[in-house]
Amino acid sequence: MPVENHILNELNTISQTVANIPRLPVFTVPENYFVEFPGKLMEKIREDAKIETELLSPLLGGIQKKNPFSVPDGYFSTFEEQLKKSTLPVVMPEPAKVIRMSGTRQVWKLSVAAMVAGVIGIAAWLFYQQNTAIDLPAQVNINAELPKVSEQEMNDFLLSVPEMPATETPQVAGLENLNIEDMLKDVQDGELQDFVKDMPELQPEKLN
Amino acid sequence: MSVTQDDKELLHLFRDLKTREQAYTSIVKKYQEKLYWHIRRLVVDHDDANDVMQNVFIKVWKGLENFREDAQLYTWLYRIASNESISFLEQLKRRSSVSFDDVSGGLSEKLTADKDFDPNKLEWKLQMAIQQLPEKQRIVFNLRYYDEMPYEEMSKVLETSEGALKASYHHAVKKIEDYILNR
Repeated sequence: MPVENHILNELNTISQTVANIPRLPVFTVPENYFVEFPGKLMEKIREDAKIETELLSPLLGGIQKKNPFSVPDGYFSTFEEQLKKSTLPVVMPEPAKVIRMSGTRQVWKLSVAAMVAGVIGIAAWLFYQQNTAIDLPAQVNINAELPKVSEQEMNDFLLSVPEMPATETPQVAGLENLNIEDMLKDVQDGELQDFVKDMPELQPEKLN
Repeated sequence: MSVTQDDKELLHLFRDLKTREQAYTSIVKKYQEKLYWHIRRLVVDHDDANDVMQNVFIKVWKGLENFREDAQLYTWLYRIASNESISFLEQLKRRSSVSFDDVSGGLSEKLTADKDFDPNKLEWKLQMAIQQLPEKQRIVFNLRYYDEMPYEEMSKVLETSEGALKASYHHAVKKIEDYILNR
Protein backbone atom coordinates (compact mmCIF):
# COMPACT_ATOMS: atom_id res chain seq x y z
CA MET A 1 0.00 0.00 0.00
CA PRO A 2 1.69 3.26 -1.06
CA VAL A 3 1.94 5.74 1.77
CA GLU A 4 1.72 9.48 1.30
CA ASN A 5 5.20 10.93 1.70
CA HIS A 6 4.34 13.57 4.25
CA ILE A 7 2.62 10.99 6.46
CA LEU A 8 5.60 8.59 6.21
CA ASN A 9 8.03 11.45 6.94
CA GLU A 10 5.98 12.47 9.95
CA LEU A 11 6.01 8.87 11.22
CA ASN A 12 9.77 8.61 10.63
CA THR A 13 10.40 11.68 12.73
CA ILE A 14 8.36 10.21 15.60
CA SER A 15 9.46 6.55 15.40
CA GLN A 16 11.55 4.80 12.76
CA THR A 17 10.62 1.48 14.31
CA VAL A 18 6.93 1.96 13.68
CA ALA A 19 7.62 3.48 10.23
CA ASN A 20 9.48 0.35 9.20
CA ILE A 21 6.71 -2.06 10.06
CA PRO A 22 5.36 -3.58 6.82
CA ARG A 23 1.78 -2.56 6.11
CA LEU A 24 0.33 -5.97 5.53
CA PRO A 25 -3.33 -6.77 6.07
CA VAL A 26 -3.87 -8.97 9.07
CA PHE A 27 -7.66 -9.21 9.11
CA THR A 28 -9.69 -11.19 6.66
CA VAL A 29 -13.32 -10.85 5.64
CA PRO A 30 -15.74 -13.55 4.48
CA GLU A 31 -15.81 -14.12 0.77
CA ASN A 32 -18.10 -11.78 -1.20
CA TYR A 33 -18.79 -9.78 1.95
CA PHE A 34 -18.53 -6.41 0.20
CA VAL A 35 -20.49 -7.67 -2.81
CA GLU A 36 -23.38 -8.85 -0.68
CA PHE A 37 -23.34 -6.15 1.98
CA PRO A 38 -25.28 -3.41 0.10
CA GLY A 39 -28.12 -5.81 -0.79
CA LYS A 40 -28.34 -7.24 2.72
CA LEU A 41 -28.29 -3.75 4.18
CA MET A 42 -31.17 -2.64 1.95
CA GLU A 43 -33.14 -5.72 3.01
CA LYS A 44 -32.52 -4.86 6.65
CA ILE A 45 -33.64 -1.26 6.12
CA ARG A 46 -36.90 -2.47 4.53
CA GLU A 47 -37.41 -5.02 7.29
CA ASP A 48 -36.80 -2.36 9.97
CA ALA A 49 -39.32 -0.06 8.29
CA LYS A 50 -41.86 -2.89 8.23
CA ILE A 51 -41.32 -3.68 11.92
CA GLU A 52 -41.62 0.02 12.76
CA THR A 53 -44.96 0.22 10.92
CA GLU A 54 -46.20 -2.96 12.64
CA LEU A 55 -45.32 -1.51 16.03
CA LEU A 56 -47.06 1.77 15.26
CA SER A 57 -50.15 0.15 13.77
CA PRO A 58 -50.47 -3.67 13.60
CA LEU A 59 -53.43 -3.25 11.24
CA LEU A 60 -51.42 -1.14 8.78
CA GLY A 61 -48.42 -3.44 9.13
CA GLY A 62 -50.56 -6.43 8.19
CA ILE A 63 -51.84 -4.87 4.98
CA GLN A 64 -49.89 -5.93 1.90
CA LYS A 65 -48.20 -3.12 0.05
CA LYS A 66 -50.04 -4.02 -3.12
CA ASN A 67 -51.04 -1.20 -5.44
CA PRO A 68 -54.84 -1.30 -5.83
CA PHE A 69 -54.84 1.10 -8.81
CA SER A 70 -54.42 0.21 -12.45
CA VAL A 71 -53.43 2.22 -15.51
CA PRO A 72 -54.45 1.82 -19.16
CA ASP A 73 -52.33 -0.57 -21.23
CA GLY A 74 -49.17 1.03 -22.52
CA TYR A 75 -49.67 4.19 -20.43
CA PHE A 76 -46.09 4.51 -19.29
CA SER A 77 -44.59 3.54 -22.67
CA THR A 78 -46.55 6.31 -24.43
CA PHE A 79 -46.50 8.83 -21.59
CA GLU A 80 -43.33 10.60 -22.73
CA GLU A 81 -44.69 11.04 -26.24
CA GLN A 82 -48.01 12.38 -24.95
CA LEU A 83 -46.18 14.77 -22.69
CA LYS A 84 -44.13 16.05 -25.60
CA LYS A 85 -47.28 16.64 -27.65
CA SER A 86 -49.01 18.54 -24.89
CA THR A 87 -45.98 20.70 -24.22
CA LEU A 88 -45.23 21.59 -27.86
CA PRO A 89 -45.00 25.37 -28.32
CA VAL A 90 -48.29 26.89 -29.54
CA VAL A 91 -48.00 28.19 -33.15
CA MET A 92 -49.20 31.80 -33.14
CA PRO A 93 -50.96 33.10 -36.34
CA GLU A 94 -48.91 35.60 -38.28
CA PRO A 95 -50.02 39.19 -37.68
CA ALA A 96 -52.04 40.78 -40.51
CA LYS A 97 -50.00 42.65 -43.07
CA VAL A 98 -50.18 46.44 -42.73
CA ILE A 99 -50.58 48.11 -46.15
CA ARG A 100 -49.66 51.74 -46.39
CA MET A 101 -52.30 53.82 -48.19
CA SER A 102 -51.17 55.81 -51.22
CA GLY A 103 -51.48 59.66 -51.42
CA THR A 104 -54.58 59.54 -53.72
CA ARG A 105 -56.35 57.16 -51.39
CA GLN A 106 -55.65 59.45 -48.47
CA VAL A 107 -57.18 62.48 -50.31
CA TRP A 108 -60.31 60.43 -51.08
CA LYS A 109 -60.54 59.29 -47.48
CA LEU A 110 -60.32 62.88 -46.21
CA SER A 111 -62.93 64.10 -48.79
CA VAL A 112 -65.43 61.40 -47.77
CA ALA A 113 -64.88 62.24 -44.08
CA ALA A 114 -65.46 65.97 -44.79
CA MET A 115 -68.67 65.21 -46.75
CA VAL A 116 -70.08 63.03 -43.96
CA ALA A 117 -69.25 65.71 -41.39
CA GLY A 118 -70.95 68.36 -43.61
CA VAL A 119 -74.15 66.33 -44.07
CA ILE A 120 -74.41 65.70 -40.32
CA GLY A 121 -73.81 69.42 -39.60
CA ILE A 122 -76.50 70.64 -42.05
CA ALA A 123 -79.04 68.12 -40.81
CA ALA A 124 -78.47 69.24 -37.23
CA TRP A 125 -78.87 72.93 -38.19
CA LEU A 126 -82.12 72.28 -40.04
CA PHE A 127 -83.55 70.30 -37.14
CA TYR A 128 -82.68 73.13 -34.73
CA GLN A 129 -84.31 75.75 -37.02
CA GLN A 130 -87.53 73.72 -37.26
CA ASN A 131 -87.90 73.45 -33.47
CA THR A 132 -87.32 77.17 -33.05
CA ALA A 133 -90.21 77.97 -35.56
CA ILE A 134 -92.68 75.81 -33.57
CA ASP A 135 -91.91 77.75 -30.35
CA LEU A 136 -92.42 81.18 -31.97
CA PRO A 137 -96.15 81.86 -30.91
CA ALA A 138 -95.12 81.41 -27.25
CA GLN A 139 -92.80 84.33 -27.59
CA VAL A 140 -95.60 86.74 -28.95
CA ASN A 141 -96.48 89.67 -26.63
CA ILE A 142 -100.17 89.00 -25.75
CA ASN A 143 -100.84 92.47 -24.29
CA ALA A 144 -99.72 94.08 -27.57
CA GLU A 145 -101.62 91.70 -29.84
CA LEU A 146 -104.95 91.39 -27.87
CA PRO A 147 -106.40 94.82 -28.88
CA LYS A 148 -105.96 93.79 -32.54
CA VAL A 149 -108.44 90.88 -32.09
CA SER A 150 -112.02 91.80 -33.09
CA GLU A 151 -115.06 91.13 -30.82
CA GLN A 152 -116.47 88.57 -33.22
CA GLU A 153 -113.19 86.66 -33.24
CA MET A 154 -113.18 86.72 -29.41
CA ASN A 155 -116.79 85.35 -29.22
CA ASP A 156 -115.97 82.62 -31.70
CA PHE A 157 -112.94 81.65 -29.58
CA LEU A 158 -114.98 81.55 -26.32
CA LEU A 159 -117.66 79.39 -27.95
CA SER A 160 -115.03 76.97 -29.27
CA VAL A 161 -113.38 76.51 -25.80
CA PRO A 162 -115.13 74.04 -23.38
CA GLU A 163 -116.64 75.47 -20.12
CA MET A 164 -114.09 76.30 -17.40
CA PRO A 165 -114.40 74.12 -14.25
CA ALA A 166 -116.05 75.97 -11.29
CA THR A 167 -114.24 76.53 -8.03
CA GLU A 168 -115.66 74.36 -5.20
CA THR A 169 -117.03 77.07 -2.83
CA PRO A 170 -120.56 77.06 -1.20
CA GLN A 171 -121.47 80.07 -3.24
CA VAL A 172 -120.42 78.54 -6.55
CA ALA A 173 -122.06 75.23 -5.58
CA GLY A 174 -125.35 77.09 -4.72
CA LEU A 175 -125.39 75.98 -1.05
CA GLU A 176 -125.26 79.43 0.59
CA ASN A 177 -129.12 79.66 1.14
CA LEU A 178 -129.55 76.25 2.79
CA ASN A 179 -130.68 76.09 6.48
CA ILE A 180 -128.86 73.52 8.66
CA GLU A 181 -131.95 72.98 10.87
CA ASP A 182 -134.01 72.09 7.75
CA MET A 183 -131.26 69.74 6.59
CA LEU A 184 -131.19 67.89 9.98
CA LYS A 185 -134.92 67.75 10.67
CA ASP A 186 -135.21 64.19 9.25
CA VAL A 187 -132.25 62.87 11.27
CA GLN A 188 -133.14 60.92 14.48
CA ASP A 189 -131.84 62.15 17.87
CA GLY A 190 -130.15 58.82 18.52
CA GLU A 191 -128.22 59.08 15.23
CA LEU A 192 -127.13 62.57 16.10
CA GLN A 193 -125.92 61.47 19.55
CA ASP A 194 -123.98 58.54 18.01
CA PHE A 195 -122.39 60.98 15.56
CA VAL A 196 -121.36 63.30 18.41
CA LYS A 197 -119.87 60.29 20.31
CA ASP A 198 -117.86 59.32 17.25
CA MET A 199 -116.43 62.85 16.92
CA PRO A 200 -114.30 63.54 20.01
CA GLU A 201 -113.84 67.21 19.05
CA LEU A 202 -117.63 67.76 19.36
CA GLN A 203 -117.72 66.55 23.06
CA PRO A 204 -119.26 69.26 25.33
CA GLU A 205 -116.09 69.54 27.53
CA LYS A 206 -113.98 70.15 24.36
CA LEU A 207 -116.41 72.79 23.09
CA ASN A 208 -116.20 74.71 26.43
CA MET B 1 -14.01 21.64 1.60
CA SER B 2 -17.47 20.68 0.40
CA VAL B 3 -18.73 17.46 -1.15
CA THR B 4 -17.16 16.15 -4.35
CA GLN B 5 -19.08 16.32 -7.61
CA ASP B 6 -19.77 12.56 -7.53
CA ASP B 7 -21.13 12.77 -4.00
CA LYS B 8 -23.16 15.82 -4.93
CA GLU B 9 -24.83 13.88 -7.73
CA LEU B 10 -25.44 10.92 -5.43
CA LEU B 11 -26.99 13.20 -2.81
CA HIS B 12 -29.17 14.79 -5.47
CA LEU B 13 -30.35 11.34 -6.59
CA PHE B 14 -30.93 10.33 -2.98
CA ARG B 15 -33.30 13.26 -2.44
CA ASP B 16 -35.47 12.03 -5.30
CA LEU B 17 -37.70 9.22 -4.00
CA LYS B 18 -37.58 7.42 -7.33
CA THR B 19 -33.76 7.12 -7.30
CA ARG B 20 -33.24 7.05 -3.53
CA GLU B 21 -32.41 3.37 -3.15
CA GLN B 22 -30.17 3.37 -6.19
CA ALA B 23 -28.19 6.37 -4.92
CA TYR B 24 -27.97 4.93 -1.43
CA THR B 25 -26.62 1.63 -2.75
CA SER B 26 -24.01 3.55 -4.75
CA ILE B 27 -22.93 5.42 -1.61
CA VAL B 28 -22.70 2.16 0.33
CA LYS B 29 -20.66 0.52 -2.42
CA LYS B 30 -18.36 3.52 -2.62
CA TYR B 31 -17.55 3.81 1.08
CA GLN B 32 -18.23 0.39 2.59
CA GLU B 33 -14.68 -0.96 2.44
CA LYS B 34 -13.04 2.11 3.92
CA LEU B 35 -15.57 2.28 6.72
CA TYR B 36 -15.46 -1.44 7.32
CA TRP B 37 -11.71 -1.44 7.88
CA HIS B 38 -11.93 1.62 10.10
CA ILE B 39 -14.53 -0.15 12.24
CA ARG B 40 -12.83 -3.54 12.11
CA ARG B 41 -9.54 -2.16 13.43
CA LEU B 42 -11.44 -0.69 16.36
CA VAL B 43 -13.72 -3.62 17.27
CA VAL B 44 -11.43 -6.38 15.88
CA ASP B 45 -14.08 -9.07 15.38
CA HIS B 46 -15.76 -9.37 11.98
CA ASP B 47 -19.26 -10.07 13.33
CA ASP B 48 -19.04 -7.08 15.65
CA ALA B 49 -17.73 -4.96 12.76
CA ASN B 50 -20.63 -6.14 10.61
CA ASP B 51 -23.16 -5.15 13.31
CA VAL B 52 -21.57 -1.72 13.64
CA MET B 53 -21.48 -1.34 9.84
CA GLN B 54 -25.20 -2.00 9.62
CA ASN B 55 -25.92 0.51 12.37
CA VAL B 56 -23.74 3.08 10.64
CA PHE B 57 -25.44 2.74 7.28
CA ILE B 58 -28.93 2.66 8.78
CA LYS B 59 -28.07 5.98 10.45
CA VAL B 60 -26.83 7.22 7.09
CA TRP B 61 -30.13 6.18 5.46
CA LYS B 62 -32.10 8.06 8.08
CA GLY B 63 -29.90 11.15 8.17
CA LEU B 64 -28.69 11.60 4.62
CA GLU B 65 -31.64 13.70 3.57
CA ASN B 66 -30.69 16.35 6.12
CA PHE B 67 -26.95 16.17 5.40
CA ARG B 68 -25.61 19.65 4.81
CA GLU B 69 -23.26 19.81 1.87
CA ASP B 70 -20.81 22.18 3.51
CA ALA B 71 -18.86 19.10 4.72
CA GLN B 72 -17.45 16.17 2.77
CA LEU B 73 -19.68 13.12 2.74
CA TYR B 74 -16.84 10.81 3.73
CA THR B 75 -15.99 13.03 6.74
CA TRP B 76 -19.59 12.69 7.91
CA LEU B 77 -19.52 8.93 7.31
CA TYR B 78 -16.28 8.51 9.27
CA ARG B 79 -17.74 10.50 12.14
CA ILE B 80 -20.76 8.22 12.31
CA ALA B 81 -18.54 5.13 12.03
CA SER B 82 -16.21 6.36 14.80
CA ASN B 83 -19.08 7.24 17.12
CA GLU B 84 -20.87 3.96 16.48
CA SER B 85 -17.65 2.00 17.15
CA ILE B 86 -17.09 3.87 20.42
CA SER B 87 -20.74 3.28 21.41
CA PHE B 88 -20.31 -0.40 20.65
CA LEU B 89 -17.18 -0.67 22.82
CA GLU B 90 -18.91 1.22 25.65
CA GLN B 91 -21.85 -1.18 25.46
CA LEU B 92 -19.35 -4.03 25.63
CA LYS B 93 -17.86 -2.41 28.72
CA ARG B 94 -21.27 -1.98 30.40
CA ARG B 95 -22.41 -5.46 29.55
CA SER B 96 -19.34 -7.12 31.04
CA SER B 97 -18.99 -4.49 33.83
CA VAL B 98 -15.30 -4.31 33.17
CA SER B 99 -12.78 -1.46 32.97
CA PHE B 100 -11.20 -0.12 29.78
CA ASP B 101 -8.07 -2.23 30.40
CA ASP B 102 -10.19 -5.33 30.46
CA VAL B 103 -11.89 -4.30 27.22
CA SER B 104 -8.46 -3.82 25.65
CA GLY B 105 -7.56 -7.19 27.01
CA GLY B 106 -10.73 -8.60 25.51
CA LEU B 107 -9.84 -7.10 22.14
CA SER B 108 -6.33 -8.55 22.40
CA GLU B 109 -7.86 -11.92 23.15
CA LYS B 110 -10.00 -11.62 20.06
CA LEU B 111 -6.85 -10.85 18.08
CA THR B 112 -5.02 -13.88 19.39
CA ALA B 113 -8.08 -16.01 18.64
CA ASP B 114 -7.89 -15.10 14.97
CA LYS B 115 -7.05 -18.12 12.83
CA ASP B 116 -4.23 -16.22 11.09
CA PHE B 117 -2.71 -14.78 14.26
CA ASP B 118 1.11 -15.09 14.41
CA PRO B 119 2.79 -13.37 17.40
CA ASN B 120 6.17 -13.40 15.66
CA LYS B 121 5.00 -11.29 12.75
CA LEU B 122 5.45 -7.58 13.14
CA GLU B 123 2.10 -6.69 11.59
CA TRP B 124 0.30 -8.74 14.26
CA LYS B 125 2.51 -7.28 16.95
CA LEU B 126 1.50 -3.84 15.72
CA GLN B 127 -2.16 -4.79 16.07
CA MET B 128 -1.54 -5.97 19.63
CA ALA B 129 0.19 -2.66 20.39
CA ILE B 130 -2.72 -0.66 18.92
CA GLN B 131 -5.22 -2.48 21.17
CA GLN B 132 -3.31 -1.22 24.23
CA LEU B 133 -4.02 2.40 23.31
CA PRO B 134 -6.89 4.41 24.84
CA GLU B 135 -9.94 4.55 22.56
CA LYS B 136 -9.43 8.09 21.26
CA GLN B 137 -5.70 7.58 20.58
CA ARG B 138 -6.53 4.34 18.79
CA ILE B 139 -8.93 6.14 16.47
CA VAL B 140 -6.45 8.96 15.80
CA PHE B 141 -3.65 6.50 15.07
CA ASN B 142 -5.80 4.39 12.77
CA LEU B 143 -7.13 7.37 10.84
CA ARG B 144 -3.64 8.76 10.32
CA TYR B 145 -1.64 5.58 9.86
CA TYR B 146 -4.08 3.47 7.84
CA ASP B 147 -6.50 5.93 6.31
CA GLU B 148 -3.88 8.68 5.83
CA MET B 149 -6.43 11.26 6.73
CA PRO B 150 -5.26 14.90 6.86
CA TYR B 151 -5.47 16.47 10.32
CA GLU B 152 -7.89 19.05 8.96
CA GLU B 153 -10.41 16.36 7.99
CA MET B 154 -9.72 14.35 11.14
CA SER B 155 -10.51 17.47 13.14
CA LYS B 156 -13.97 17.51 11.56
CA VAL B 157 -14.52 13.80 12.13
CA LEU B 158 -13.52 13.83 15.79
CA GLU B 159 -14.42 17.49 16.50
CA THR B 160 -11.00 18.05 18.06
CA SER B 161 -8.39 20.69 17.28
CA GLU B 162 -5.62 19.81 14.86
CA GLY B 163 -2.97 20.54 17.53
CA ALA B 164 -4.57 18.10 19.96
CA LEU B 165 -4.79 15.46 17.22
CA LYS B 166 -1.09 15.85 16.32
CA ALA B 167 -0.14 15.47 19.98
CA SER B 168 -2.42 12.44 20.32
CA TYR B 169 -0.88 10.78 17.26
CA HIS B 170 2.62 11.48 18.58
CA HIS B 171 1.80 9.83 21.92
CA ALA B 172 0.17 6.87 20.22
CA VAL B 173 3.19 6.19 17.99
CA LYS B 174 5.56 6.42 20.98
CA LYS B 175 3.44 3.93 22.97
CA ILE B 176 3.34 1.52 20.04
CA GLU B 177 7.10 1.78 19.60
CA ASP B 178 7.57 1.06 23.27
CA TYR B 179 5.25 -1.96 23.10
CA ILE B 180 7.01 -3.42 20.06
CA LEU B 181 10.53 -2.89 21.42
CA ASN B 182 9.84 -4.12 24.93
CA ARG B 183 7.55 -7.12 24.49
